[in-house]
Amino acid sequence: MTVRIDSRFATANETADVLGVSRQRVKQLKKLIYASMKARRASGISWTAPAGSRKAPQVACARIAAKKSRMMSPGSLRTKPSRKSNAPRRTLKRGKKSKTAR
Amino acid sequence: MARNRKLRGEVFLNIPYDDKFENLFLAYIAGISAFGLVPRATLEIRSSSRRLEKILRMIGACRYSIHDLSRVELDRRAPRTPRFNMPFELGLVVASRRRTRGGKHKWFVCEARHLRLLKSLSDLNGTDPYIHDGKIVGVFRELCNIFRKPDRQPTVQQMSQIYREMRRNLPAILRNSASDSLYKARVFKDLSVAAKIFAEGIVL
Repeated sequence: MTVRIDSRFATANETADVLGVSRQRVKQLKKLIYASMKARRASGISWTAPAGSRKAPQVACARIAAKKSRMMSPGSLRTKPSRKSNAPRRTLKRGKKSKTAR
Repeated sequence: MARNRKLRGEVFLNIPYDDKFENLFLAYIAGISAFGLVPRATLEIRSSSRRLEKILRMIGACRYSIHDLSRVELDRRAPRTPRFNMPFELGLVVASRRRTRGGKHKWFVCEARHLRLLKSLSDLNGTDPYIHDGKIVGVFRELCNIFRKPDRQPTVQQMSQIYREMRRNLPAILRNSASDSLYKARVFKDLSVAAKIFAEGIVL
């Protein structure tokens, strides 16, 4: 049974009102979260932008472009596992036969 | 604090409060927040006096309730007793459903394993539980099976994103609350508000 939600999207302030969290605490939490996002952005880690921010798409696009250029470079083509030799690694001693040859 | 009377999207979370359930606890908060709903839990009730009355009042205020019975098992420490709070609260909801919100309250049962609920609680035969396999993505999947928001249905990826942000900010939130456990009133409320802040940025 799937329930159709007809109530509107509760904002952070409305959620705080229901739970009895003060507006000052909501501001503190927002400050905490945005400071953490800013620190991660400064260190180059991808982050999730809050609503209204315009910089996140640029950061995300830059990361995607950098990854793409790395993949396209000849140096990134390594030996795939399927290209590795399936020859037996174990070498037999002189005069010895393999199990299949017996 | 005055409550907005038009807001009707509160979900009563009947879930275990133990260390092994932490991931799913955060997943439930993240998933419910992604739908624009407000999670409620008995964690908010601080005092032990008239606790049952307060639980009933909280259930009465909620439009929906989710009951996770995946950890109704024997305690490892002596005396080895099973945790009955979750089935008991489910019973309270089922019994009071007719009087709760004019019979419009809807309850859902979640489990980690198929068919286990039919064995442990055969009275629920005919009620299909939502099986999350004990996984975070399973909780998100089942929440998408339970709820549908026509104008803005969140995806599992969006819920995962909210969850990851909550995880990243969890140490700071715990430090701020001077707590080392998720299962405290203040931490639960802070996490619910933080999840909504992330949901506003990711889903909307």
